Amino acid sequence: MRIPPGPLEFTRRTWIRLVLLATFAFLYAPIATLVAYSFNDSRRNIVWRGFTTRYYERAMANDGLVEAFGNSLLIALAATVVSTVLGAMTAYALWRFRFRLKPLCEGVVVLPIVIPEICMGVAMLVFFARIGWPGDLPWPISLSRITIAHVTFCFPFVAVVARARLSRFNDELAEAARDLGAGEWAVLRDVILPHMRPGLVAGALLAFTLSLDDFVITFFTSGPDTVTFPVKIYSMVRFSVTPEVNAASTVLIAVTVTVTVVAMWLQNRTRPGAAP
Amino acid sequence: MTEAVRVGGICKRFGAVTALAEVSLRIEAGEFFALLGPSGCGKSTLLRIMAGLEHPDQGSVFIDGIDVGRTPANRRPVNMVFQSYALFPHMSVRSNVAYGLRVTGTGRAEAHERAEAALGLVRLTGYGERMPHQLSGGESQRVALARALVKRPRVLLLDEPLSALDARLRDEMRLELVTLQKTVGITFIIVTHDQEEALSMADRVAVMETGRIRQVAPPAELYEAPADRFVATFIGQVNLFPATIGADGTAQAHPFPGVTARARGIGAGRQVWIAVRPEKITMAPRGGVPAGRLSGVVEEVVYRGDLSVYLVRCMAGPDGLVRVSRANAARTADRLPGPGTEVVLDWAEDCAVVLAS
Repeated sequence: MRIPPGPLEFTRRTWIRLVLLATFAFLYAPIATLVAYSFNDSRRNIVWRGFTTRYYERAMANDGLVEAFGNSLLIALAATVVSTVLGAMTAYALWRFRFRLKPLCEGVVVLPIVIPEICMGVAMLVFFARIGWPGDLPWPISLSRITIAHVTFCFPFVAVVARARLSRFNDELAEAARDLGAGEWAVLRDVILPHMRPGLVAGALLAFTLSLDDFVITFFTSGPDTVTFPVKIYSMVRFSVTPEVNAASTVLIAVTVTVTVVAMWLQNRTRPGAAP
Repeated sequence: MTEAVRVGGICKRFGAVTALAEVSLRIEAGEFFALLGPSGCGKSTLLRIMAGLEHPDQGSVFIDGIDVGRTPANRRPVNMVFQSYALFPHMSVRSNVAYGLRVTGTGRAEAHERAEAALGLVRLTGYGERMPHQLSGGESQRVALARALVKRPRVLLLDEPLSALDARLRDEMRLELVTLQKTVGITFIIVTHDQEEALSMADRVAVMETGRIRQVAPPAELYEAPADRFVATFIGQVNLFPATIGADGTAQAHPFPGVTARARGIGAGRQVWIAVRPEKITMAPRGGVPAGRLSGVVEEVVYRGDLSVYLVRCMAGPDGLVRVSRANAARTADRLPGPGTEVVLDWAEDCAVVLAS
């Protein structure tokens, strides 16, 4: 006998299933197409001509593309580390201390999130030109301009996530630690930082993915010798959309998804079933 | 006896609210002391001032005779059990208990050994590897106790330690806390709003109201000889009769000629209250027995299992009800007067207490 769906068993109602299906199709059809056509055996890449991995090989052999990918990864890693440290410190300061103009400070910290990226990009371009930041530095240091630009829009995200996490901190934990003999630093190290950790991991992930695929701000701050992956793909697309572009994009998707999954797995493993 | 804690003239305000007004208190070494009062009376603030987690606006705190006014919380020889237990969620039970030792420089091996001993003291041997989220409420409570005791503090402060436990466990933990205190011989100061908890555990109790201490006394004295109306009504149930002191020094209740009490040291003509506890009153059906101090009609009977509470109407109006409680010594409920029965009430002369304020 078929049991009719209960009031909260939404996934058993046909129309909701259809809406769910449509939503997922809407979200993932373009990405699925992109990935599928990276295996398309056709230069023009408009109609399906058969399966091949040739364009992955060609992407690997494209020195410019590989270099851009390396640059992107390096920038993303550096920006993530700096943003996480800065964001954690900002969140702690805004949570722990009371000072004049604190509401203003809280607003200013999140401002880079709402300022249009194009404005940030132009501002960065003008700023670096004005202070005369050298553009002809040797390789890894030449990426510093883009890295600094990325930190400015990544660290507010870390700060916001970490701040939200701290607002759920039970003050009695810090008091208990102090009561047991911990000084201010020991309380921070032993109680507050462990509590912040899930927020910092989430914030760092956000910063990493934001930095890895940023185009607008990077476009304004990159030079001829410091091309990142998104900028490189943009320049390739301007000539023609070959499966090589699809292949490169697929690799980028794979990297971000893998990093996210690994980070989530790490977090679950170290805190088994712990309440947030 | 030597003193463990002495506070003098403590004042504390939070904005416009006065939490503590000129509180002075002396707690002896080895004592089980309770701070009792309704929520918002300042008892937790006083405890936190002793711990160093809060700073008084005025007044001094001495622990073991040493002024600790300038000593931060992490250097005071006191430890605290928090209401939420405040176990560190990312540390195992053993690390939680050992934390106070580790953070002050004790080596790992020694700290773990002492942590295990402390866990044994609260009967949690073998729980060292567990994480706090795997513990029940009662177990968390014990871990919090072990963590606070492992440093062998001079004074253990307990902030509403039993309020998060269910009723049955609370009864068990009361006994266990008393036994534990006798075993370790450390001064315990407990904050509670539960009068039964304070009476059953503490050697002495301080009753607080709106930032002031109303009375400090052993439980029996607090109950049998309350200092004022607040203490009398806050601890247990009481019948209060408005009265005036006569020329011979006897308090005479106004509408009840039978209700009198001997007053000491209160001037004639003063308005006072005569307090009589419900269980001190004897009750008998009218007729046949000598007239008691009061007569009335049973209006309501509240059955409570071990005892029944009778509300006896002795006079019209809201002040005319007298509360009498009787133990249900027999199994059948019909041996004592039901609603509508005319009864006479009596009590021994010394059961009536005169309260000046």
